[in-house]
Amino acid sequence: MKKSIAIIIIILAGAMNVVLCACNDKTTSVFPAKNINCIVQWGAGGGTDSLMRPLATLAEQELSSALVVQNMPGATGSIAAQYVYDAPIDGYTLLMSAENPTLYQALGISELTYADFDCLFLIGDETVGIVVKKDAAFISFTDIVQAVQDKPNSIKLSTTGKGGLPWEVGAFIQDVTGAKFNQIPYDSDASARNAVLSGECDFTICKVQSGLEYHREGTLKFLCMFSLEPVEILNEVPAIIEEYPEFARYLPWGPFYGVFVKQGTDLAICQKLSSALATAAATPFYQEVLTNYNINYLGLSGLAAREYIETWQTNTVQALENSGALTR
Amino acid sequence: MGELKKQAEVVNFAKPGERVFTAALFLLGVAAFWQSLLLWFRVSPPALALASAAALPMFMSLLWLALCFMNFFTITGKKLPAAGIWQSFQYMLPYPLPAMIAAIAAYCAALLLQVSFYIATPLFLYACICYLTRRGFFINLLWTSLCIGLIFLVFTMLFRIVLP
Amino acid sequence: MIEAVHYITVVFREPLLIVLVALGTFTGVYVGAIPGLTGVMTVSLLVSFTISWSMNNALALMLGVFVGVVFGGSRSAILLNIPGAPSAIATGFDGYPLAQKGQAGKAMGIATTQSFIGSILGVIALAFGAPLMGKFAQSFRSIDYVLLAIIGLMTVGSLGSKTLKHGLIAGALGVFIGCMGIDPQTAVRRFTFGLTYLNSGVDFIVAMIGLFGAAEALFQLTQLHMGKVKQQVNRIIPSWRTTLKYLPLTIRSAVVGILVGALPGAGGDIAALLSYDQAKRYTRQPSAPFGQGALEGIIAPETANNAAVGGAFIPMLTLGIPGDAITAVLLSALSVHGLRPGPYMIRSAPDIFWLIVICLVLASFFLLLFGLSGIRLFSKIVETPKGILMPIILVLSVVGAFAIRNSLYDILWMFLFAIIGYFFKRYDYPVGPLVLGIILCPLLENNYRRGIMLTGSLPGLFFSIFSSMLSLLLFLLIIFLTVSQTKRYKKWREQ
Repeated sequence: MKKSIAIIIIILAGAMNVVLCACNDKTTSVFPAKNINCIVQWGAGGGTDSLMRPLATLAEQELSSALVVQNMPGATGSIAAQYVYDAPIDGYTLLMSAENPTLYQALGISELTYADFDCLFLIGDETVGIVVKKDAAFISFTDIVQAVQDKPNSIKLSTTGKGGLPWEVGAFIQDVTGAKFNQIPYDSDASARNAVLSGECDFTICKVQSGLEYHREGTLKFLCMFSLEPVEILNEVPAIIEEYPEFARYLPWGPFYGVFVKQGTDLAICQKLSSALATAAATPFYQEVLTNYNINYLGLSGLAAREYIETWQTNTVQALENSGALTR
Repeated sequence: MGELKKQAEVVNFAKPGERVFTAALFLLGVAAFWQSLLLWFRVSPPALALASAAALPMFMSLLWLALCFMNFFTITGKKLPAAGIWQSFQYMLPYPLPAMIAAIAAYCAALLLQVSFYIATPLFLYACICYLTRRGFFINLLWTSLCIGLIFLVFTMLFRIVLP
Repeated sequence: MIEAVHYITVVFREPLLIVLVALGTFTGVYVGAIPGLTGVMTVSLLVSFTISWSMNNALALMLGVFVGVVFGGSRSAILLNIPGAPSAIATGFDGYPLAQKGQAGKAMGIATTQSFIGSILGVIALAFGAPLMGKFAQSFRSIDYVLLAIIGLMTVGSLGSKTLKHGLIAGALGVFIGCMGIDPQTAVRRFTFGLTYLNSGVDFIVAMIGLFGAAEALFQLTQLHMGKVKQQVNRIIPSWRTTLKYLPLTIRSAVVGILVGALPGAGGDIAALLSYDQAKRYTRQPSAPFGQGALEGIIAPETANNAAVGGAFIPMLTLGIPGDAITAVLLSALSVHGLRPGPYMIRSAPDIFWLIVICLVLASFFLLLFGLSGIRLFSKIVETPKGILMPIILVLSVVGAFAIRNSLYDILWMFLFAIIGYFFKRYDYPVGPLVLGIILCPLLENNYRRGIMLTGSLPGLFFSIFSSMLSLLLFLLIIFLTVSQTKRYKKWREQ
């Protein structure tokens, strides 16, 4: 009796294992046949992550397959980019990123750039501005530049590391005004902002969505916006060209966000993913998310997206080279 | 073997193979320091050398090998047990570890060679349990299936992690 | 005040919330108890899963998981010497020896009640002290973090080593390993040997699973000849007298937990280790020698790690900076639903603030409930023959290591750490400081370098200690901790 029970159990166990192996059979023809991994370049809770997670969840409904979002921060996002690049070119690993990969080669961070990826969907870009502590001695941006010229290296700019947003704008500023700052790197834009709040640093570059509430409450103030015109929601803050018109040659400029896949992925798969993302982004729910974050919606894909990125890259690299932040 | 261990604890004997282990750690520390030095020269020095990316690794690897060096002396101070190489090896890797490590190596190799997780793992698990318990070959199958089933349920279904 | 009551009673107006908190806590306790499954992974999945839910419901579920998982790690730490979560690393130091003596039930019982108390104390600090503690967290400068990291590293002496030298070597090795990867500040590749896998460095959870899980399994395999230990499961719940007896220690541990949790970048794992160290230093007559089953060695870390949960919400809600890894994911969850935590959230969205408070309180009670139940069943696990249990643990370690980043190489690294950990255990080198080194490395290094860049020189950095009360206090604490270990001081104390 015991032996027959044992035999039955063995047969069941064997069957179960076979079934499990079959479940994991990867040779099905319809895309997507299994979960799609979405790798976010920056940390959980950050600006990029907060835009990508809702998009992924909405796009899931169009694709009838799960989009599993994972964060892989580090090295200005190059770790995530490398991971997606190394993954099989089957459309099951996507890169959800910001503008940083355009500069990897120029900065020597990585051999990869957006030329190695196809843009499935370019969500949008945003405007950034210069913020200081509320009781700082600076009334306008010109004051900061003046302070540096009076006493070189005395002004501390909190950054998110080489290749991050504040570093990029710092280079633009150096190119146009000649002002060079003592740059202190922090782990995230929230930490960089906190450094200004606590007084450890003098100023930083802040996205509208991260600094808005502080500006309204009065603990931080936006001195000027890095744009051609004042931003609607902060229309009392001047645009930088009012003080330094030379910036106009680089504007409009701002970090952008998009979803990418390794170049060379099958076109049909790319199209399927692009349209799912586009539909997801067009929903009222997501549009509201974008408004909450003050993102300028672009909604580009394919050739239009590629052109946007290439123009952005050329302009930025140019400015960085002119300012000496990058050697030619 | 047990005798040696007891001796080591009572009379401040070194453990069999302890010198080898300390020496290995020391050499690793030297390698780490060497790499840090290379890094120091590779990194374009920032305005302040102390803030270089190589500063902390250098400090830590130096601390590491200095302490290992000191340790080495303490050990040569201790009485050495009358243990030959074979006994030391037996102390370092007693039964059943040599076989287990070989099994682990085989398992890793299988996974690297793209063998499906759901084939390699049950085999590994069943082989290990049988080797270790030496009886109840049928029951072991049950344990194996239970474990794999649990993993499947929790990881693949609930957490949607695609195992290799 | 009245509005606060109104917001808190939302759980009675929406009883589904209570159910969700219970479900979350239950899930968290068991996720925490299984080595390889982490709370961060679970909460991340829940963020996407609950995106179409109402914010209240989504939060209730995730908060339950958070509280549960921090406690749950202690289960496997006590039973198997394998921490199921980083916050339980210290719990095993005394929890496991107790289990070896047949008192796993007692250990788990006290871990549960202390986690409950710590959790409640943490929530009280959050509810009543958030703005004040927010200011405290904000006043931490780079030098203060360096001092804190040094205090953390000084605990290597207590983490189970016979000689300080061994602990220091392990710690130094750990910090060095933590430096591997692409440097976050200058994007330079450090010690990656051309392997792209190493660009992101060594994940400390892989190290933890390898050093504490697989290494322990390998080590225990060499002791197959030892018989099973029969577990006493009658007196699980500690008596009132016991709880009151340890009240001073509980309060101290909770304070450590809340303060450390309130600092961005430092969470329950560091809090538990620091708390264990202070218990070890300042307990005159422990119930057993530390490392051999002292109750204090369980009380201190378990109280601290759950208190740190409440503490971790303070910087998240007042500064918008996460207090630890899970609150980072919760931040993203909140912003997805349109909320942006910051200094004004308590004013602009008090309903969410008080919802978090009441959910944490409820989760604490469910923790008590789920923690005390199932102890008998779990104690039986220890009675499974090692020949069956250890290979299963090895397999779970493999899955757990893989699940972090979907990387096969993590499995290889996990086994490498297992081998290192095994040899460490063989020759009485402590493994705790190794993991501590890896955890503290970013905190120490980034802030040290920042401090140098801000002050211009090493002496400059040192003297900046004297420009702030906080830094001075931390510095004096370091001096005190060093001096109190010397023989002279100990003699002086005995007089």
